Amino acid sequence: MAAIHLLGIRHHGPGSCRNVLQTLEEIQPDLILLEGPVEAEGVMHFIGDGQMQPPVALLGYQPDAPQNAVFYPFAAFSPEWQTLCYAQQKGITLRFFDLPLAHSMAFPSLETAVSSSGETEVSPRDPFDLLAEAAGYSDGESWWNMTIEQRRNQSGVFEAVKEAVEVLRDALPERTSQRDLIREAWMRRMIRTAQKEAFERIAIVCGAWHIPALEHMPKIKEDNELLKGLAKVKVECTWIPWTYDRLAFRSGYGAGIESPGWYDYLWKHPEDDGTRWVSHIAALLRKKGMDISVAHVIETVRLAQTTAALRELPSPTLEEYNEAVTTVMGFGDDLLLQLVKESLVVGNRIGQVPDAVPKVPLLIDVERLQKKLRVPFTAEIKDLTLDLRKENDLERSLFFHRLLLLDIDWATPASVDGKGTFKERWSLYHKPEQIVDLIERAIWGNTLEEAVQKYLSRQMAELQHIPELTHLLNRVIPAHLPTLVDAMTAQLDRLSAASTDIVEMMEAVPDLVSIVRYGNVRNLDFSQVGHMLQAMIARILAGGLLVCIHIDEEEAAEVLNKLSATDYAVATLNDEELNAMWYEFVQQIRSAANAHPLLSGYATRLLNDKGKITPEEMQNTLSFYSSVGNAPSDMAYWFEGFLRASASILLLDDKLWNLVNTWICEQQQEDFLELLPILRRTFSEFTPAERRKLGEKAKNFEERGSSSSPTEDSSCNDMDAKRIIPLMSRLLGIETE
Amino acid sequence: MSTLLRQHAEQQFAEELHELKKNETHPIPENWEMSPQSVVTYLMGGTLKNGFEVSPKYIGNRRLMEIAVATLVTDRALLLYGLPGTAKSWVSEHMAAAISGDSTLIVQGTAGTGEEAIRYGWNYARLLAEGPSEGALVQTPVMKAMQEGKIGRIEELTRIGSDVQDTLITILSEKTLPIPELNQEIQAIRGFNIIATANNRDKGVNDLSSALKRRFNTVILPLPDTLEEEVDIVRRRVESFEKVMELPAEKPALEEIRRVVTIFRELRQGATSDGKTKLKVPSGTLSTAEAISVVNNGLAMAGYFGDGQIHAEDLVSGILGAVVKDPVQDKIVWQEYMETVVKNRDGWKDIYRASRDMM
Repeated sequence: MAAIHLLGIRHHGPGSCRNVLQTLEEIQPDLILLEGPVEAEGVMHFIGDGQMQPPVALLGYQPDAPQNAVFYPFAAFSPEWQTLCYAQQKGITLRFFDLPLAHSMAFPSLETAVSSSGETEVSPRDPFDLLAEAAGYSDGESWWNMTIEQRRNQSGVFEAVKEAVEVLRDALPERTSQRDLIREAWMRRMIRTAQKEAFERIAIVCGAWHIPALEHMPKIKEDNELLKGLAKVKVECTWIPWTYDRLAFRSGYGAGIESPGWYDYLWKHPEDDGTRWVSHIAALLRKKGMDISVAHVIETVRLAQTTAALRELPSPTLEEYNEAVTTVMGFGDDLLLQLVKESLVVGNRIGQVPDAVPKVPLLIDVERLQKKLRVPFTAEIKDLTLDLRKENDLERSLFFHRLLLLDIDWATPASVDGKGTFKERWSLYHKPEQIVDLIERAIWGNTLEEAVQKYLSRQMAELQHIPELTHLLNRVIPAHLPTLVDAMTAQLDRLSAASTDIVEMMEAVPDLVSIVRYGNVRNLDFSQVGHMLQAMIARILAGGLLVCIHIDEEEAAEVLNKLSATDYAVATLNDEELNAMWYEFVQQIRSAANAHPLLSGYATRLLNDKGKITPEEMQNTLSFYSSVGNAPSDMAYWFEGFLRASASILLLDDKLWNLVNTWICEQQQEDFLELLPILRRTFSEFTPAERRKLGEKAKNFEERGSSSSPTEDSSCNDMDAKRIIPLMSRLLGIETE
Repeated sequence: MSTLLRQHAEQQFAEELHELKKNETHPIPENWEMSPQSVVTYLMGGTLKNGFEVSPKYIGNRRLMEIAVATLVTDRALLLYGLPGTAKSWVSEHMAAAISGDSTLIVQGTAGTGEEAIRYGWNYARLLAEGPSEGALVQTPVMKAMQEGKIGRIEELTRIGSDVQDTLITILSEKTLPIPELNQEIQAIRGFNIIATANNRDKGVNDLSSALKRRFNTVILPLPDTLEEEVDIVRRRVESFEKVMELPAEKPALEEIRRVVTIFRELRQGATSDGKTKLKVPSGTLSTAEAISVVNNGLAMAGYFGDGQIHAEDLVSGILGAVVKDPVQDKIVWQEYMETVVKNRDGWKDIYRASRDMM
């Protein structure tokens, strides 16, 4: 019978890692059983590839349902990774002996497995906390760090861990789930199989939690009972790059660790006395513009070591270093440390996998484009400003827009400062899940372009409302997919012809306008969209009045919002024909007797702003609406529409001011009381500064007497004004005689 | 001895220091009275091997004290920084007492502190009679600390003018004090170090030059984290005050201390302890030290002018004094607090009434 050595580990830890290597070297096994799914053996040969750089993750997914995926992340300091490398180098047979993914992914209750490595520590409380408490540590992680990871002398550690876990498992039977029991039964089955073969020394590397279950073998029959009738699905495995950010506990990864960056350091520099670590901090701080001298580094290392000695620790832990940095470099304040904590403790490392690793065609296409456009995945968040006049930048923009359409949230648009439509800003934040999303979208096509088109065609067919469609169209346009745009325009045409909902059409106008403008800027031909826009406005013109009459206050407010958005859009486009059509419509609203007063007020205002009505007409409308024949509430609505969100017109136009002023002053007491709430609402939309100025104006007006108008007795000196004209003309480039 | 108004730390806690030395198990740095571990035990309290109870002097984060003591082991100077009333001087005194057995080598920093108060001065009568000589030299506490290998203390370092502060640079980096008049120098012997305190609330202070800053390790002493911690601090200090002053009043109920501390914390944080009501913050710092003196004051009032039991009226006058530093603004803050919070709080009616009577 072969000798079996059980090596219980925690998934990521430099101490465990060294320990495993050292023990493997001692026992010289001829077979290693490693916790992991058997399906992964097919891609194991990539480990020796020079291009493979941890952190990487083994990704298992169902090809027919790729969203069902499992990750097994590995860092350089993961014992599993080092075991794999060791077996590879020495040519030792290595088998994965965990329950195959084909079974475990078919297990309905296994949904927790996604984004965790299938470790039992996925729980609100680490069972090792209990041991930590007994030993006087604050939590399981720091206890494990101190007792296992930062230990110099490793002999007998595996025995000790085994005993500890045995006690824990006895004390907390509820912490071992049914799933764990099945997995352990499978592991035992694999061990039995191996024992029957001609191996002499078998080393078993797996999570410490399972060790007791593997040491005491129950009867074969019991295990067979557990493993009977497991469901099965098809599973594929591949390698994907991982990041330290995702390895960190706070990213929601169950077996995560607090500080990958610190572990990375411990793994790479086991003999360092802290100098490297603190120098690294100093370098990062200097990059942030802090003055940190070599003397600071020396003092920090000394203080960390002294504090550790005072606390009777074998060597300083991360906490001692953090405190020392705060005390020596930060003048007692940990603000300084917060500056670099992210890049220091978490670390922004991203792994790399060989090109030859099997991938879905869509992912290959995306990687090809990334390489071509030089926008690789990076671990930190990156901002990119694109100048669309440059060819490469334009292609990048197309690439980002297309990924966005596939609902891959790697590149997200950020607001641009400065003006000009040729500038785009993107924020790139890579999460390994995005690769899974890509694999999932792979069913739509083999290239990015094809996948986007098919993905959106499906979405498009389901849309029944014009604004949704125009909104999507607006997103599609910058991705430059002409056939898709044609299909969408056709669909839009069908919808708008069939639709009688004028409000929906008004909602669609701003999107269409922005598309037409976009085409103008980039010299693309969107004449079809242009026609669509005209047709849309014509339809609004034909039937729009109907939505403005006989409606209540709430509906009117909604229509008002649409009107103002549409007006803004039409005004930006400034197309003569469209303008004419639009203002004709506005004019209709103003003159329609039964339009809601809120809307006719707004229409009057629009026309007044654009100079479409004469001052006399304006006066007439005002006196019409402020005449006593109207219900007070109608007047108030009218004013609300008229003065919408702008007090400036009242401040500057004294005629208007006079009218309003007189109107208010002439109100009967009971009418005024009825009006007051509505007026108050109108005025409450103004900014406090505007309200203050209005108040001041009202006061001054009173004092000067309402007859005098400030524009007439302007203090401006005519002579002074004339002297400016020649200079202004020169500035404006108009020569005057 | 018993007629002294206040004893030094090393006098008051002589027994504890003695027991700590007796039970020493760790190596002792040269010229220290005890090991760094024992210094931390002295500050934080604990039970010694022979069962002797050491009372806690600092109530708060142990790690801070460990960092502070470790700093002194590395022969870097220590700067205790924080708001007024966060026990900076208290910690500094006790640390010096535990490490050197002597907390009296102290320089009080003021705007008028000159170089001669830090380095050395001259006895002018003898200087004129004998010329520059060792006999005419007046030693400062810092100089004495250097010669004897002890901890020197500088209070309110940032109140001292910048030019005078910088005389510390040579002392701290080269551990020597040149006396050019005598063509001599004082070289510090092992065990010498400086503990300075400074507060970060005052305006018009002199920030340390970056050269001097670099020679200090800084530990910020925070305000107490929790209500319970603060109540504990106030209770202990009040009890020791009672002992020293032999007040005729009864020991204050814990409930009274809790009320004072609650008022202080709420006003300091600008919100009630349940976080439901926002409050205006008064201009004073409302530190734990002030809470202690409010309770002490209340005790004295109750003992000498009252019935020996501490009542709301005895406390409110003290609280008012601490809160209302600005007669206009702070008064509004206090009245608002009274009307919105205290008035409606169960069992706090007496404070509300006492405050109404007093305003």
